[in-house]
Amino acid sequence: MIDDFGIETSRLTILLDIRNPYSYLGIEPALALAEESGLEINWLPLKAQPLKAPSLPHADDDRGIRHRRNRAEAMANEIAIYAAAQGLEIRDYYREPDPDTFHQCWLWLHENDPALIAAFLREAFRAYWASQLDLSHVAAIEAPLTSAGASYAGLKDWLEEHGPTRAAALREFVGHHGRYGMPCYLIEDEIIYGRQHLPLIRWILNERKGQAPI
Amino acid sequence: MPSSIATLRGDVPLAVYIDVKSPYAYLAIEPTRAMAKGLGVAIDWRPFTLDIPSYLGSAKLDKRGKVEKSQRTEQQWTGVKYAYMDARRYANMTRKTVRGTVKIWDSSLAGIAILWAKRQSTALLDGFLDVIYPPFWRRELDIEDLSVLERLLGEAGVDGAGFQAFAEGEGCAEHDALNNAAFDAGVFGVPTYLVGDELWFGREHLPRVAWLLGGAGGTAPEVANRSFAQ
Repeated sequence: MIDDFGIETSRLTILLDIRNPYSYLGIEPALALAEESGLEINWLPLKAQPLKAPSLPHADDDRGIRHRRNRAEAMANEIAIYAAAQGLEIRDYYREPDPDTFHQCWLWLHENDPALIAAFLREAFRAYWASQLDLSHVAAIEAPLTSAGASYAGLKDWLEEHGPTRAAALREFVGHHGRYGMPCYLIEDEIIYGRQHLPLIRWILNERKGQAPI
Repeated sequence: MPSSIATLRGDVPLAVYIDVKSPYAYLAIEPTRAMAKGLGVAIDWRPFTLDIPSYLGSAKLDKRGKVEKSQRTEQQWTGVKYAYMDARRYANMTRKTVRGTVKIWDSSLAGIAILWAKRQSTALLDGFLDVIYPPFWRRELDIEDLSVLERLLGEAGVDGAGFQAFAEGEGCAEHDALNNAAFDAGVFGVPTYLVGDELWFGREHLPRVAWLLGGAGGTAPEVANRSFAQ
């Protein structure tokens, strides 16, 4: 039997990558939706495409290079403005640390105490984006676990025995989700990228009753 | 000293860049109008002709919808397919048809027609947008054909006499200058909104655009694809 990580039975699964600023920006609006709808979100980790920093201009830049620079600059501006609006601190968008250890700790919590994941993510994302969390060290990740009220007894053994295989099983199950943007929402049979779609997701959760969101 | 965005925007409160060959621009027309109407703000629609092959590769389909020629990577293809799926998802909600295009159109002539209609009046331009977008996205229009655009201008009540000369001369120059100025200032896609000193790409930013136009009072809104219908 294939383990679906709760995706098939959850009304809403949200895939996030801690290294992705749009993932961070998506947490509070999703929690607000969950509270409003009495919904339990199935939060899962996924490696997304890293953001690309705007390139420095050169005299021989072609149209494509200039397009990508314009786009990257607009994205950086967008992240800064919406982070400020949410009161979030987001430093250095373009870091690319290996998130595997962190994501495996997240999966451990998903298996052991899923009700604490939202609090764990809130604190872990806050610390990471304030440049206060080393994603590669379990000892560092114990702080947001503690903050969320989770016990991490047995975590290290689980990471050694099951962490990489569980992470690989999740990657196998969700395939290439996350390639086109974050957060990635799985609802009914739809895959939706980006928190701008939350009105649509709310409408779907409400059995598509009332006026469509646009 | 005004920012490059404010300079590009000019004297109008809201400038919006669109391209007929963008499904996202098509989907943005109605909510943008509804948002602006609610605030009593005029929209300065401007053409921005996307150079898609420069950033997303190029492709052409045959009559059956099979790929005939392609210079796209697998990742570019799947990105394009998701974008169309996403556009169709919203199009279906508003009873619009968005069929995948069979090639990457040169929409510059349609952009020049937007400039021509705009010279006559904002209302006529609105009418022209309404007669060009729906059939184009049903695959019923060749927007590279001057006679097709002349017919559409006529359907919208726009005087087409002189359009051909305009398209070959002054209109073409104006279109190219507008596009170059926008690209140099940071515009890269459509719809793009210029309001105050800010540039926003995508209709999901309409709540912020509305908030800025309304004086930026209270809490700044989140991104959202949502209705502005009254």
